[in-house]
Amino acid sequence: MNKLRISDHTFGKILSLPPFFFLFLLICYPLYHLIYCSLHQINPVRPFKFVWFENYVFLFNQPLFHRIVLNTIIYAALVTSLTMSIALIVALCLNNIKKLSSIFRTIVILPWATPLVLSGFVIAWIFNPTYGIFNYILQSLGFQPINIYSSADLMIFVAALADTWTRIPLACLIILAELQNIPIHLYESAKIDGASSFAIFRHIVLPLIFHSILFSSFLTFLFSFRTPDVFLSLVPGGGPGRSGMVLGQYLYEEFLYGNIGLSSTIGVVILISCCILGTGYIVAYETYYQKLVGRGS
Amino acid sequence: MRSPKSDKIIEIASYILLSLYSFIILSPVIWIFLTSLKSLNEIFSWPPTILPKNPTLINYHEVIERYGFVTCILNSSYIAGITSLVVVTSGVLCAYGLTFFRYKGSSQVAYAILFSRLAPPIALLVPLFLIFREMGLVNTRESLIVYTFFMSFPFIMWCLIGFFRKFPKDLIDAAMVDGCSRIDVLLKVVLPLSKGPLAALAAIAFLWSWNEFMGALVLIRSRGLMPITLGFFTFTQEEYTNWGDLCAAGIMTLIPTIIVFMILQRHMVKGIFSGALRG
Repeated sequence: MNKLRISDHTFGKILSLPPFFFLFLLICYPLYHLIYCSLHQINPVRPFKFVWFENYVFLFNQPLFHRIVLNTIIYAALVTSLTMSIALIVALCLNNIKKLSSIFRTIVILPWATPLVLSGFVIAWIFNPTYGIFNYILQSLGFQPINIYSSADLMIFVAALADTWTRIPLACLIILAELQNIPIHLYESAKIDGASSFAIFRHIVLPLIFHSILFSSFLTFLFSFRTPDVFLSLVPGGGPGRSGMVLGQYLYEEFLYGNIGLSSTIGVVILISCCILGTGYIVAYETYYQKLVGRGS
Repeated sequence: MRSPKSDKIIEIASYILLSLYSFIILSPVIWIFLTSLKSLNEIFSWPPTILPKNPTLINYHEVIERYGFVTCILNSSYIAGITSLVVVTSGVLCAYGLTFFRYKGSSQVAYAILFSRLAPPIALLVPLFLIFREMGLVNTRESLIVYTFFMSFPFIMWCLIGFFRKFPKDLIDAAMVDGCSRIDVLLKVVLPLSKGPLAALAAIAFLWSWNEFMGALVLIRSRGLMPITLGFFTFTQEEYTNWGDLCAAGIMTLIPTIIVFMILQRHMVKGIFSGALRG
């Protein structure tokens, strides 16, 4: 035998550690840089200096920032609730049908392949105050046309629609994968016991797919919370008085004006929110899992 | 007892709902496609027409000639192709090492890679831009590849671990007994049996990198290096009333992703359903 033969452990380390350290470096060094910048005054007009938490104080005392945080939370919550309710229905339907299922699956996943910029553009066009089809339908039904750019709330709602359109496929796939793992004999024995369709859904299907629902809600909320792509293509500039912006867009605009310090501070705020969300999900999952174990199932 | 009749009703209702949903999903795409074939006069005519009266390719011609969309498509293919190749290769090696040759701390490494996806890309972009600027890498396609690698690697690797865990261990042991080296096992046993999921994951990495927008917006400045999402975005900012051209550009942004999607969709659906998404 070859004396130089390395052990299995070392082999595993050689294969897996290089990408791990590359990723580690790719995240940790920018993170360090981000926190460093957020503690300094870096902008084109004032001199570079260390200012402790002045950026944070400035940000948290700004009414606009409060508004933007609120917008982001409302937006992510709206996207999540819309996505989850539609994805659940679509997944259940896909699970029920036998014929044509591959065609329908393809159509359902299709929006996943669409860039968010494009769906933002499409929705901007549908709701365009002058040429949009939405206002055309409203007018032909005898209503007043609506200008979405006049109100921040309306803009957020429309952006949420565009985002929902692209977020449904992933949530739907996660739920469907879990649905198809439910053994058929569970349905059959419930049917023999005389359970109604709703009872089967409520007491067998829902508990078994609950984890996938939780997981995909978390993913949807997280992704829509931190992705401003739709807003950038829908409402450049952030609507009336910048009041229709989300956090990511705010970060990008401050970066464009050269306020690196302030934009890094917003970055830290987004980072901390994401960490809180992640911890929240893990806590929710653990509690749910404990409950399952406690029930003995 | 439940009658088979109620099953039938549920099935029919499912078909109706799915058809409705498919209509909602497809109608915007079909509509931009139809609009991209119309002349500017027809687009602004009131009431709007649905089918183009005189279909024309002038919008596409305009987009390709004046805005260099072909360069954008080539840039995007380069970025997405390299990313998907690198991500899948390194992902396979990494997941192979982590699942079949466990060492102390290997599951922590796996979790750390998964949790790295929690770091918000948008927050990392500004410091990445500053770091790349120091290194003179800003405004290169390679900088964007590094960024898309970070975006897609954790997910792909995690899916692969989920897939490898279900891989029959006996096959590997048998190959080992027969005298295969560990690399031989990977090349001759594991890879041939996971072609489908690998194709699916490569397609996912490709689509994500193709659709990447924020990274391109921050890292890339010159027109000749823009990927298509950014090209489309700058185009919408400059020509925000020229709907015909915009729709043509939109369709051109979408077509390559749809082609990749159509070729690999069977693998994608299968690969994802084979449990790759669970973990």
